[in-house]
Amino acid sequence: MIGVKLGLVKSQSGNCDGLVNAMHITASVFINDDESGLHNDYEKWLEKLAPHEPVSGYRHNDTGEDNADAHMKRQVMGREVVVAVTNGQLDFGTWEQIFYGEFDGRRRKRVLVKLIGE
Amino acid sequence: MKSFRKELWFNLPTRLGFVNITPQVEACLQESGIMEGLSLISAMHITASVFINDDESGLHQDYEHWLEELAPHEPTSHYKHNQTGEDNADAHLKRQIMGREVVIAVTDGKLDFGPWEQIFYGEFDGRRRKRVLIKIIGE
Repeated sequence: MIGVKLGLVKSQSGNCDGLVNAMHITASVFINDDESGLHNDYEKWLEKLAPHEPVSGYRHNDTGEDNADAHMKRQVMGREVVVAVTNGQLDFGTWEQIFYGEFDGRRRKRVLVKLIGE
Repeated sequence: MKSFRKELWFNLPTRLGFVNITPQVEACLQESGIMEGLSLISAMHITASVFINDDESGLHQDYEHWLEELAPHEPTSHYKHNQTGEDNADAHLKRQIMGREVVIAVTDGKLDFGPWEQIFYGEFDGRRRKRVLIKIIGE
């Protein structure tokens, strides 16, 4: 999993909601700690819950894909976050950081950021 | 467009617990005067959840057992994150399963819920003061 901090949304917006979502179904956007040990724990844990191997263990992979596990890992970690924007700032607790979680990388993929409000 | 913001504070006496916060969210909605819009309710801490499910104590016990099975607290040395001096790596994992936030439609000044939907604060590393953010936007 690659944790990429999205240094986003220093917008003109005052009070609104920001939606940040993965546009691919084998990736996640989630909020948690920017701590490398924890990211290592997530990786091990997700591999235990939805192992990549054996790829033949998944019906989805009969289609020629080898990423069934990535579809499951993404369900555990979530698709999107919604963050309140208050006075032009992400309205966060002390340790909240936004991550892109990749479970089937080595190709170009996207995240959508949508702000609604004023 | 109107916007309304409030924080709810918690200090649960146990490491893990669930609190039904639906009445507090409904009170906020009433106070906001917003009739049509969206309400966001999110945990401001990364070892806690806000989720929607059933207000049934047996289910809450089931969640507790299930989460403990999926992400056990012990042995704490099993987690790299705990080498930083923390003992709450399991709580970061449990929170991912249960989710950080919910977004609820506001229609005619009410939370637009199905028959059994109730909002819960899920605590996975309690015994300290923690917050939930309620933000409602609309008209």
